[in-house]
Amino acid sequence: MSWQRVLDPALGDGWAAGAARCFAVRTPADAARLLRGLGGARWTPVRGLPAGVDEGVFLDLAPLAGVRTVDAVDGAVHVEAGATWAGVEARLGEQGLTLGPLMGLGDEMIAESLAAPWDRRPSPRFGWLRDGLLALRAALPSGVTRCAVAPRRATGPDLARVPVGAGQRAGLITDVHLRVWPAVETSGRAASFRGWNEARAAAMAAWAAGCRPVWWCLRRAGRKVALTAAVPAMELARFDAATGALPAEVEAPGAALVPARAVSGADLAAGLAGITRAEVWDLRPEGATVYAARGAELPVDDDWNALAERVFAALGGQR
Amino acid sequence: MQTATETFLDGLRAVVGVAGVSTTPPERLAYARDLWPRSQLERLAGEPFERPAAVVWPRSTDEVAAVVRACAAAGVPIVPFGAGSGVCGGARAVPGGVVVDLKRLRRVRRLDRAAGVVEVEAGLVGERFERWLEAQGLTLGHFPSSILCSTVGGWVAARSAGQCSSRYGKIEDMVVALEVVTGDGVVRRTAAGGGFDWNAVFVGSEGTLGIITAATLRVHAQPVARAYRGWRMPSVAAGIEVMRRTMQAGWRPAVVRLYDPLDTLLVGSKGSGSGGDGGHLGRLKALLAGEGTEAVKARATRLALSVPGLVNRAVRALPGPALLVTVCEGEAEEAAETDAAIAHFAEAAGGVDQGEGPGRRWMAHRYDVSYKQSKIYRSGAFVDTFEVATTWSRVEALYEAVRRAVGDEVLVMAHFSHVYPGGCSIYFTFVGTGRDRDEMRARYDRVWKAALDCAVARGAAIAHHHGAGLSRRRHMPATHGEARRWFAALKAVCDPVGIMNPGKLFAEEALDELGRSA
Repeated sequence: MSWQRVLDPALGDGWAAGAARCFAVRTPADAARLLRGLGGARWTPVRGLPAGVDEGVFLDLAPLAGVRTVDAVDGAVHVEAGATWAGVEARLGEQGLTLGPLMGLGDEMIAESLAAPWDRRPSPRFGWLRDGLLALRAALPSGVTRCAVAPRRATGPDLARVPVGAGQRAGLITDVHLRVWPAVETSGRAASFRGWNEARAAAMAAWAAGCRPVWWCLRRAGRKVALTAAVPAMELARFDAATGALPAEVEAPGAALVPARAVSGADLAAGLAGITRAEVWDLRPEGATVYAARGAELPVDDDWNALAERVFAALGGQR
Repeated sequence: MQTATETFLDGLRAVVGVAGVSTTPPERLAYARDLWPRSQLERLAGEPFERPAAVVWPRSTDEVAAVVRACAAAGVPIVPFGAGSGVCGGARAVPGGVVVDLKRLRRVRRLDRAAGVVEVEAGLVGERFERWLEAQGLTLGHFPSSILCSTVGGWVAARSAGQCSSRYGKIEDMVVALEVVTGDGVVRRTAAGGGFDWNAVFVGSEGTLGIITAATLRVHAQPVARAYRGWRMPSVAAGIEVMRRTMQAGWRPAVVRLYDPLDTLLVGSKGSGSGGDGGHLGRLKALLAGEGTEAVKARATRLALSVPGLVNRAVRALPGPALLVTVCEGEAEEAAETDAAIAHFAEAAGGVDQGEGPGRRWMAHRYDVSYKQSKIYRSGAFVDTFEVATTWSRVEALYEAVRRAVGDEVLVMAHFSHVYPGGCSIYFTFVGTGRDRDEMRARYDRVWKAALDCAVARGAAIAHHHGAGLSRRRHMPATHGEARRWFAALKAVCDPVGIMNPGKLFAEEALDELGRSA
């Protein structure tokens, strides 16, 4: 194994094909220089030197992992992309703020989660992970994008979404502004139903009453289907009236299951056919995403994927 | 770019029928522009409009695709057209090109009531769509002031926001999936799912990547109850604080609008009865709103506009109240609870309850503003609006900075609306005049530049829901920086010949340069 930790981002000397290299990224400008030097070679962002790897190019984001600012008035945190979600959440907790439920994301780097093909952390109250993204800066071989924060992207296509879900093909995400919220007092609630569709109907009645729990989850419990949720105090009465739920000790969904099937429409039971161990965390009026064991991930649309590949190729980034 | 030839147009007639293509001068003139006020100034200055070679009315997505393929093969530019209510020049015709009017694609294709989604074609006019939904007991929750003269496709293409965006979101929050004919003539359908977020790419693309032909949108049950209210806030800052605290606490009012002192005054003059004061402000109100005949009103307006700096400073020196209008809706309990929560924040900030009147009056007159501009142009002045968005901590500073930057040129007022947990939009209205048409146009351009410079310098979004079109094109590079390369790559792939609404959003030359360097 021929590890070399390169502190100077300038490439060129001693570059040997087949050797594993790990380049420390300290600033977005560093990252742009590195990408330019790599000239389209494949690379992987990591946090610290990966163990047991003897080939490939790695960009170490450990030096680019700070929380730059926390702004309670704007409800935003500016954080570097090598930080972990749990690290940011801990820092926010000191000020009574939160990113929302992490649902198993805690140890992941922010750059890694945002570039992943699937959106994560469905929360009726806080939205998906990508919904909390206010602004993003990325390094391209040609330079660094701008990172202005606004409550909404408003001019032209939402270009900040291009590297999101792109698997690092559209540049390296270097720092992001994320929505933060005042920590909300919640109570656990649980109710059981005869079947999936009855449980969904109860949850949607709560939705129609304006309830947006921090998280909710449907899962099989014996012969019944259980609805569990963390409900903000201000919505408890409406939630209980709509669902018949009672106070309960509840556990937030974790990362053990992955999105496996998109269900559109109200017939949740039909959408779950053939999946033995399933949970539904992402429950919306127009449908749901069923989570199941790994190996059953949702397919990505081939036509669109091919078009996206052409966009990445036009960008001239990593192959 | 090539110009449409008669042979080429015969090819289009073969696709959409003879009646589906027009080259008559009146229609080419009617489709030469949208409602960008600068076009109106050009017309008043006697400048000729650049007209398209033809207007085309396809009847189906397949016909749209065939038209796009024909244009791509011939290199003829296309400008997609909804109802032409855009105010940024996004639908301005390209000389020699074709305008593709989508209004014959106006079907509601599918309603899934249980799922709360509806698939609708792009050319359906908003008010008709909402009326259709209302008959089903549903609402989209999207009420732009242009609802009577804008289409679903236009909403999506220009990243529209409705007056109830605080509850239902902007149009991008409503989009589940899109059907798009990209510039290569291929019909593509986005879907919720993994990977690259294509919805985010096409929403706001203003026809530069393809033509949106249908959208699947989230719909909601009609609200059962509404709670209306007005608050007389001691200052703009106090009103902003109420909006911020309401949204960050997780409440979802349908409408939250804060009018600055001058706008409050004019709201009062329209009959809301909340902003009118006696004394100096009362006299200013009389001066601006005018009473009596049209001629007297026009004279009063010109007098005020001849000294905009003085009038703006007078308003600032005599700070009046700021009117906060709220409408809360949903189930009865939610509407009442949200109204009570706002009351808690408003009273803490020194607000005085004005009762239901201001909210009800706002609702009754919610679409009026779009139809008042022509009177101002007839009086020899110009009027326009621009909306920017920024975070809460910067809202007041941006508001003041823009007022300072343009205050010696035009009369300027603003309201704050479209509120989110992280910030809000500031919607400026400016009214000005000049010794002659040339001076008016020069002043108009200076005001736009100064205002957008302010927004860029303060890291704000240079638009919120009007789009970019031509009016903001100059500031797009400063806004997006290197991210322009992402757009150039998207353009190169989705519109390889470069026929889709060329010159809008970004200047063509800038994209060509980026494309070459990529």
